[in-house]
Amino acid sequence: MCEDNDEKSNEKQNSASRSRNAVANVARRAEHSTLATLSNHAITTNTLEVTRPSGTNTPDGGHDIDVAGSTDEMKEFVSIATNTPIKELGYLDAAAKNGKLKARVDVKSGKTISGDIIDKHATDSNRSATYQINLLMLTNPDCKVTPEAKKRLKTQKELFKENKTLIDTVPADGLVRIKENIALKLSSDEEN
Amino acid sequence: MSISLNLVIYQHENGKFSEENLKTVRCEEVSESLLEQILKTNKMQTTKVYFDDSFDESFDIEYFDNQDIETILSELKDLFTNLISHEYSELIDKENISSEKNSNLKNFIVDSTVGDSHQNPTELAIARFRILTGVIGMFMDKHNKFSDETGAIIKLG
Repeated sequence: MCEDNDEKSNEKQNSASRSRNAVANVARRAEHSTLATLSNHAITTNTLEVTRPSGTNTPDGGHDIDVAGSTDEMKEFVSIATNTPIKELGYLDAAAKNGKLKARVDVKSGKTISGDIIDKHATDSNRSATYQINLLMLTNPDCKVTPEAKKRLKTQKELFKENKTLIDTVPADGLVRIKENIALKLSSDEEN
Repeated sequence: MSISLNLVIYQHENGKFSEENLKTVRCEEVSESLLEQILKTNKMQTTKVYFDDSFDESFDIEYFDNQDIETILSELKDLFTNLISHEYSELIDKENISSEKNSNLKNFIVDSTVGDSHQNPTELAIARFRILTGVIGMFMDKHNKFSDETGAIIKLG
């Protein structure tokens, strides 16, 4: 009887471990898929560079992908991703270094963005002082952003804006908008 | 890719957690392999956290049960002692460190992937200590400062 219980407990642990491995795999794929989308977006621009700062699974301070480029093309990228009119991103002009802006991208593939995840995003952003744009990219179309997370993000956005820095989330439809924009630009290039 | 463990304080009423006015005490990043190591002997629980005290809408979280914190802390301290021993051996006796136990210990804390062999060994050692001491600090905070606070839990970020 006792052995049966042990076996059941081990099987439960193994099953949980398999489930966590599956989750880790989803996260790894989401990161690569986002990297591919952003790289394809870079093809349609003159200045954007998309890089992956860490090739390991080592914890990275919420730093999965770097995007850097001219102020105008970076503002256009943020505008498409976050569905924000470019004129509302004018404050980033003052933050540019040598006419360029840098973005730190943290990819999240989970089902929920809760208040503590926004708190960590803000802490990571404060620690990334050489980046003027900090984006949490959500890849799960069913991802739920809790009311507490929304409240905290709103407060943080205002605080960061005072320092000419942007902090935001990019919902899954933001990545869809980037893909649509890529298709539009590539078809326009073909016509020309 | 980053996984974090977050020490948070939820409102707690009649055995239910609610997220409104949550306090985030600290967040610590953890490697996948260190998390797996902790989970070999301790499992995470799943529970609902309600958006607010109307207890209507909710989301699920994975967290460590309060009664497991002391055991996990003890295991992490043992791991820390083993890590010191390993790093010391590596520093003074570079030719005799190729045991499987040592190489496993390395991988428990910083995941090995292609290209890691080119990374600076000192930087990797620093990363191992940074990750492990961060996680130990969080469990110590939970154990020492919030042991009576039922709404204070360590959750997966």
